[in-house]
Amino acid sequence: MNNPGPMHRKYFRIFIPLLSLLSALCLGALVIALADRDPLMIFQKMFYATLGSSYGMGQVLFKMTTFIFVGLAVAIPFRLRLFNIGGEGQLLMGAFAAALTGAALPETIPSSVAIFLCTLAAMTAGACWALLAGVLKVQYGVNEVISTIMLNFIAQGITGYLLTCHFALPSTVHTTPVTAAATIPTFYKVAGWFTNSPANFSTIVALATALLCWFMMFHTRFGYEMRATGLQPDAARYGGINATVHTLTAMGTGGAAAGLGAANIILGYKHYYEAGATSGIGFTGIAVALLAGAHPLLLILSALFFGFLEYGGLTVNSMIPKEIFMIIEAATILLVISFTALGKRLL
Amino acid sequence: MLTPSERERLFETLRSLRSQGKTIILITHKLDEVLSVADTISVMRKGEIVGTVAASSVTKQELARMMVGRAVLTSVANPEASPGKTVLSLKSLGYRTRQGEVKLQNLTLQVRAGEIYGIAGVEGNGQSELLQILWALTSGEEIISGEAVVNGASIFGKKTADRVLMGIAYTPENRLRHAVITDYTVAENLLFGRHRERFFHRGAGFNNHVVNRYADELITDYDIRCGTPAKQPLSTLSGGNQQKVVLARELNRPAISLLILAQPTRGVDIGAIETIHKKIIAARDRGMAILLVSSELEEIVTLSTRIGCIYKGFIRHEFSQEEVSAKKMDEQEFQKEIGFHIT
Repeated sequence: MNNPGPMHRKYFRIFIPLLSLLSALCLGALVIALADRDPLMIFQKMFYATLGSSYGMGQVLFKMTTFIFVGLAVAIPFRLRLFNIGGEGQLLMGAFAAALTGAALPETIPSSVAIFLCTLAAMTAGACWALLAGVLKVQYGVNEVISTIMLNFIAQGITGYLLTCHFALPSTVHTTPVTAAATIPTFYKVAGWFTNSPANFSTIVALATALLCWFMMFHTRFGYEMRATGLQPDAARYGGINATVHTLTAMGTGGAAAGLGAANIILGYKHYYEAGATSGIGFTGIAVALLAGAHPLLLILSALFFGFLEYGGLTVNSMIPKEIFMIIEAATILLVISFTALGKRLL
Repeated sequence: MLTPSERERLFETLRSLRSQGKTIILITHKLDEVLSVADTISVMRKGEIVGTVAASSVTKQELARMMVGRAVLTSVANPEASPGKTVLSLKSLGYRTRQGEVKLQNLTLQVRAGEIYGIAGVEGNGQSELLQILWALTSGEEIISGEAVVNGASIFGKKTADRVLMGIAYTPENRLRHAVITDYTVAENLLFGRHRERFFHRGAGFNNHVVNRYADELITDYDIRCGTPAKQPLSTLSGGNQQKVVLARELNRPAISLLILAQPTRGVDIGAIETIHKKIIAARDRGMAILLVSSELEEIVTLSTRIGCIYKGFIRHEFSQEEVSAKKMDEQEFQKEIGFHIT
């Protein structure tokens, strides 16, 4: 067995996701062909509808933004070997909290304060929901996969009940819109970019957050301890590292990131909470994080790719069912996992 | 591990099998064993046979040279120690698992500054439990009794990080599992467990300049063979070099008064053993109190100032400094005597 040098490993880390992406696209093309459509034509149309139009690009950016946040919600705990399946529930709680806070604020409040308060509410709700799983883990050793899945259901139940019985406007399935001051301005409104698309200033926050997480993970003592704990928990204990603190911080930070994703959707686009507004997005976060190998910077690319698939799939919906793109997304993840395992055996 | 008398019995069996015309292949890193029992010796280094010789025509030094590729001392010089005040004092220490199994009972010993206290014993006689207690790695479900005092202060109830501040350093038995992060670089590992020391900090991170200079110093001082320390992952180093990383880091800690060494040369080639033993004796001469736990009797006899024989969780017999100095003259006989106390 040859021992790969650090450089080899670096190339390998980039190469595997690329190879799996390419294979997934080929597989997608095959599925489209099987559905009796011309894959090249479909891909071309997707390409024009997304990168070819300023509205399409805005849509891709908007989706990418949410995906970066929900991807981080999975990626940060992943570094500690914690598998946060609860991005969905954390996003949901964050969305609900942002919408309710926004609706409760007076109209006269300054915009910056309103946005800050609503975002803080979303982050707190997301963080608390994730911390529940964290506390169960450190106190009672409850597996976080189980607890976060269950917390997803509970979040659905709570928001569903509160919406239908207390907060929904009569004969609708959404809450009172947030006060105008609490809406995050879109790029179109401020600068005229990305015609009419929901892309808003959350995108900049998302990029900054990913950068901050990368810095925290790889350039601080906190990140040094955190990665060590994830790699070798027994050694971390010997080294006097407090694993409990790291478990709680990672879960809390992950949940707060999901909350930021909720702010993007609610404050930047919908302006109210609607049943199903965040449905399924939290789960895509798992895919985004896995494809990026839980690396905060690669995660931006991975989120962009999923944003492209997600919105691109919508644009060709009339020709090919959206489900085809769900197949491509899921197949990409399976291929990444398989190729990584295979690559480790080969190298 | 076998005690000397058990080993003798095994070798008798091997010799009788040989006289019946059987072929035996013995794989070992112990030079004395291979010289006493084998007829033909092949030396392996880095996956290759570097030489095949008749056992009767070769000395221990020559074999060592073949294994390492350079001349090595198989036993380092160990000048007489002059111990000072008591640093570690364990009084009737007991350890009982939740299931009621007694691992340590009434274990009492003192280690003084400037001496190496060797704990000889067959593995599984309470050594691991003793080490867990000393480094706060117990799970909290055991029942621990007695007293454990370092420099006059009890260590009970103190977290690992606080024990470091009390001047304790520890190299664990299983270094790959406990003492290093194998995916981290050599430099990052030289920092591991010491990363809270202000000296290495800058802002929220580390001062790379200081860390690299510190790493370079230790690498030269301990003759650690590696590429660029800030880039090379520790997992790519040989066992001996990984062990040297751990020892270098722990021995270099500022203001240590008690150094706990568990199996410091396990899985290490004899070239590295020489370096490590020299460093341990040098640390002792600087006035550290050293508690050495090893299942290698040769190592215990070579290094120790005093020797405690652990058996079923207590010190069954203790050899004083005078006894050790006198008995060391006939090493084989001394090892046999220790073997008698630990079985």
